Formats: sequence, C-alpha cells, structure tokens
Amino acid sequence: MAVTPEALLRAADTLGSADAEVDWRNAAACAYYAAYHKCIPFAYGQATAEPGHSELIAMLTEPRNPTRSRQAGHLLRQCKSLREQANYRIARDFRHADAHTAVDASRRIFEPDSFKGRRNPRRGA
Amino acid sequence: MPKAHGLAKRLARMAVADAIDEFALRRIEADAQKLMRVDAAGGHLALARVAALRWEVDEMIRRHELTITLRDSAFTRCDYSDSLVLVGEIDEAFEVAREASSRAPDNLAVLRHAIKAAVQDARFHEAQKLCERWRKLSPQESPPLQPDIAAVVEAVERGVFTEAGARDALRSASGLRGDAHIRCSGFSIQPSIEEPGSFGFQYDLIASPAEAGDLNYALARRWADSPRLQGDPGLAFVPVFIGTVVDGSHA
Repeated sequence: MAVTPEALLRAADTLGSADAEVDWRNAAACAYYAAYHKCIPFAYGQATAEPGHSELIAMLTEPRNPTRSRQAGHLLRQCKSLREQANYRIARDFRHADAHTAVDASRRIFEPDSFKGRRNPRRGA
Repeated sequence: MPKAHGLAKRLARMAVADAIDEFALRRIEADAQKLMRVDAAGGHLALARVAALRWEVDEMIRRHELTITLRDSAFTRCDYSDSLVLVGEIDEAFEVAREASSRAPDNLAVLRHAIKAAVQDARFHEAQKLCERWRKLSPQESPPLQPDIAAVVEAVERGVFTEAGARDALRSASGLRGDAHIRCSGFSIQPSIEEPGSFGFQYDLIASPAEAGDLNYALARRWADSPRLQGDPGLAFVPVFIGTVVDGSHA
C-alpha cells in the first residue's frame, strides 16, 4: 500500500471538516505532509528523496529558482508553523480556523502552475 | 441622550463581529451626532471609530485629531492607535501608542497597549523595555506577550534576523491586510520548536480561511519577489494569516 500527496491532502480536508480538536490537529499535520511530499520532486527531481524539512524549504526558496517555487517554499514554511503548533503545543488551543488555514495553504501548493518554469538547482538547469 | 461609554461598547462589539452591520453602524453614527451636542470629544471619538470600521482612513484621522484637540489624554491616543491598527497602519499606530505611554508611564492599560503596538511594528527591544517597566509597576503579573518577546529579542541579538527585516515582513503583511479591508482580532508570536530562533507571527483575521489563504498566497508572492525580505528576515520570521470565520463548511 502506498499513498500519494493528493490522498494526504484529501485526508486533511476530511479531518478539517470534523468536529474534534484532535482531528483539526491531524488535519494541519496531514496538510503539511501533503505539501511536503508534493514539493519533493520539484526540488530534487525525484519523488523518493527524503530531505529534512528545513532542507526542502531551503531548496525551494533558492534565489535562482523561479518566483513560484520560492512562493511555494514560503507557503510550506507557513504550513510547517501551523503543523508545529498542532503537534507540539497540545496544552494550547488549536482551533478549527487553524486547521482550515493549514489545509488552504497546502492546497495552494498543489495548484497546477505552482512550479511552472522551475529550474532544478541540483541539476543546475 | 446616548452615552460615550455605551457607544464605545457597541463599537467594540462591532469591531470583532463576523460582519459589519451597516444599519447598526448608521444608528451608532446618528447617536454619535446627538452625543456631540453634550460631549464633543466623545462624539468625534465614536465617529472616528465608525470611519475606521468603514475604512475611511482620512475621515478617521480627522476625527481622532479633533478628539485629541478637545481631550488630550493618553487614552484618546490609545483609541487613535487602536484605529490605526485596525486599518493596518501599524507604524503610525506604534508612534501614537508610544506618545500615549510617555504621557501616562505608570498606567498598565496604556502600557499593555504600547507593548502590543511595539510588537506589531517589530520594535522588539522597545517592547522588552516596556515589559521591564511593567514588571516594576506590577511585579505579580507577567507582562503581555512574554516570554515570546524575550525569545525574539534573543534571536535578534544572536543575529538570526534583524528588527528591520522583521518590520519589513510585518509591514508587508499589514499592508496587504489593510488593502483588503480585513479586520484583525488579535495576533500571537509562535516560536518554532523544530527550528529554535525562528518564529511564526500569526494574525487572527475576521475573515474566512479562503480569504486568509488569499492573503497568505499574496504574502508568499511578495516575499518571493523581494530579495530584501528573502535575505532578512528570510524564513526565520514568517507572518501567517488565520481566517477565524469558519462556518462549518470547508473553505
């Protein structure tokens, strides 16, 4: 069995529509990992790479990358901030709105032209 | 005859309501005009806030300046600063809050306002100094936004990013929000656990997640287009808009 980034995003969407805070937290985490896995092939040219989170964001936001890639990196960083709150700060409220915002940011990374015209920094293209 | 306090309470409720009720706003406006006959400063203050809620910035400034001319106090300046924050003019809001704080240095409500205004314009060292003043005045009560302010100051002193860089990021975010006429009900600093020294700066917007998402998208674009923001604060200080008006359906 395997899942795709799209399946993770769908799961995030479903969890984000639930009524319990624990589901909203999982929605934010799922949304982030959906975006993380979606971005890997665009940064590394292959889907099987396993970069660290900061490393991936740094790759996407390389100055020589096109604007859309840097923009996606910034959105991924925003998602990561929400995922950290969801996973670590369990003593603080995590709101429905936080989950919705995380899912929305992730979804925008999936938009078809997010990485249009991308140069792969590793290939020096 | 309407009372200034009553109008202020109605306006404060409206400022955080999911949507602005234009009819209620007109009723407040009419009451403010009546109040003007007996309490000109109170009337102008209410009309200033009405203008702020309609995003009529020039009118808002004119009314607040009239209020201050008629009743020059730290509190009228805090009200002015609040309205400036509402419309996204955070640099001006901080200057007005600083002036208010200098006029009432021992007042905790004014100090709280000044600390928050300083943080929203990335004046973290200044906010830290104001927190120290707070501790002297009220040792039993922790100052607002601590220990987060101290954590940001430490990151700045370690050279992770500069206050000027963070200020550029926050002004960029507030400018986008102001241009979109979207109100903000609060903000928080979110220190990163996985990347110590990095921070999220979260704005709670009175807007849907989709509207907040549009702003996040625009902010990411602005960041991606700006070598200056990419250099400093880079990704170590990242504003995030949260859309808090969730109606049960998905954005």
